Amino acid sequence: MTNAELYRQSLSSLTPGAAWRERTLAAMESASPRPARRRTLPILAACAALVIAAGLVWRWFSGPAPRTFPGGTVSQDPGYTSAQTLEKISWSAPVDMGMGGSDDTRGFFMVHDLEEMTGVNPTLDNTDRIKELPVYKNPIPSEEEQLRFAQNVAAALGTEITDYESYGPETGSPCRFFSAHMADGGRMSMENLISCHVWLPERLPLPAWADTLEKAAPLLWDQLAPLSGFDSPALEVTTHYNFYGEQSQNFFWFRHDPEDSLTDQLLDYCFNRIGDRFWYESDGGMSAFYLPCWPTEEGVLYPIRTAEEAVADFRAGDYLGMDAPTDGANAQILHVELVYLNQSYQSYIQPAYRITYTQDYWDETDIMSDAPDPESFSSVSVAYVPAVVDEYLEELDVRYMPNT
Amino acid sequence: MLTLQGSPLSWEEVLDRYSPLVYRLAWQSLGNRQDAEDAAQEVFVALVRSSPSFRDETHLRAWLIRTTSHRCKNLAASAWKRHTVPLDPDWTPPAGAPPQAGAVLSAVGRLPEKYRTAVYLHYVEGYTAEEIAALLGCPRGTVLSRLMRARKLLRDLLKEEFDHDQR
Repeated sequence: MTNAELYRQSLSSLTPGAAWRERTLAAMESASPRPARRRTLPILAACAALVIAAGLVWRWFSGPAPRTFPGGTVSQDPGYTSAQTLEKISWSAPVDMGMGGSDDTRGFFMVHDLEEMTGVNPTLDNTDRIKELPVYKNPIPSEEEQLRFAQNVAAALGTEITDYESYGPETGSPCRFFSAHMADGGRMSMENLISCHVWLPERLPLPAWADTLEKAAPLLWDQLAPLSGFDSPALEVTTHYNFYGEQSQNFFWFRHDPEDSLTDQLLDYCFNRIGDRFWYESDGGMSAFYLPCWPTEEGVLYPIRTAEEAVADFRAGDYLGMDAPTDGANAQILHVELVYLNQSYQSYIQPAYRITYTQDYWDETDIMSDAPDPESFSSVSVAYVPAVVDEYLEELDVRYMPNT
Repeated sequence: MLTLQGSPLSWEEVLDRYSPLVYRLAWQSLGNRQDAEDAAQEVFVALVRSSPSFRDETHLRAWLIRTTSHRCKNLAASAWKRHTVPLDPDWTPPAGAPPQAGAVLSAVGRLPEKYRTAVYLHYVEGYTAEEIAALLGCPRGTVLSRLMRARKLLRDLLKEEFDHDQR
């Protein structure tokens, strides 16, 4: 019997007892029932709304007509300001962060080339000019606020919400999750109001020759642009490999104006972006994407430490990462950049230094044994160090990261 | 009264159909019967209080899995914050299980929560990566990655393969 079969057989025999069932049924019956809430929204006769405008000509090729969206901006830059007095902020982390690896024998991302995971962040190895950055509060929205946001997203897609669910602190969650079905067969999910993921009912049309992300990207942007809210895109593509050696690409377009301040360029890079993760060529296209989502409250400028101070912390082992602790003193640092940690469980959406590194003693051949040519792989990892100076930073608040 | 695909479902039916799923997930997270029973009961009480409508069974199961995960984390953190010593996980195989299963249960119990949930849903409930992605609301690639990393961690802990997975 394999270990998996042992595991399956053991847990399959585990059932709650009759006494528990009795107690639980009593508790359920005495719990106050809530009035039924109408959550199913009327479906309009929306077929006409989904018909692509006749006569649309796509200059790139003759073939399946491109998808057109009415478009619209669903999330606005809240701006930021200075304050005379600054309150302390907290830095939250998921309770199981740092437990991703059992030993320091390899990095988190498998790559052929150490630069494949390097993006085009305007602050990449270019952080010296920034002395302060905005910090944003991350309040938990109400169900009604999420629904309004989602309805605007659906309208931008040319459809509407048919049913939804929203659950938050009442279930023990540290943030509010939202999921909805739309009349055109698509789906949507949100976390608070700072992350919105859309699944279209079918992949965006592409000609047969656009079989790589590089070829498809301009055609995809043509279709997604109305949903982005900006018209000066830069594209970031990063590549890593799964354990079968298949290439997986994360990509997004972000608003980029080199005439803006470096701070504003960074904010656009972090929040004003549209794209997705896990592009596999074998999947044949794109049917899901994250929409641009800004923090919902005005930011307040906080002084930040230097990259040298952040690197010193990393070298000393004082950082957050997804892997087992590593020999920071001797790690080969590839890049240092500023990013924003905007996970929904964070109390504050705040800047952090992201340090990409590798180790010369890492060996990927074991974990890549199912891939062609396992020895051709290297690996890189990422560490995060708070950017806000210690004076304004509370001790690490370990919180929960449900299912992310 | 809960509704599933438009039809009412009594609380007895809910418990009969879904308590094993919730209870096993809770036990795998907390490692002891008492805490698992507490967490599982809280999940079903939360279900009553929320009174949601579920369009299909996948929708309901997804809600139960998510809420169980949250409740287990709350339970573990509450004991920690009270500075009491939480019950240590006891990976003694349940009655009827092979005695040698203890090492496997302990190894899975040491996995990070998101890996543990994927392992449970795949190996015990029999869901494919695509189905698990739909339940957890994450990309299929994420689920595959978690399963692969979990198998690697389990191989390190058990000093032998957990299983050979079929994609």
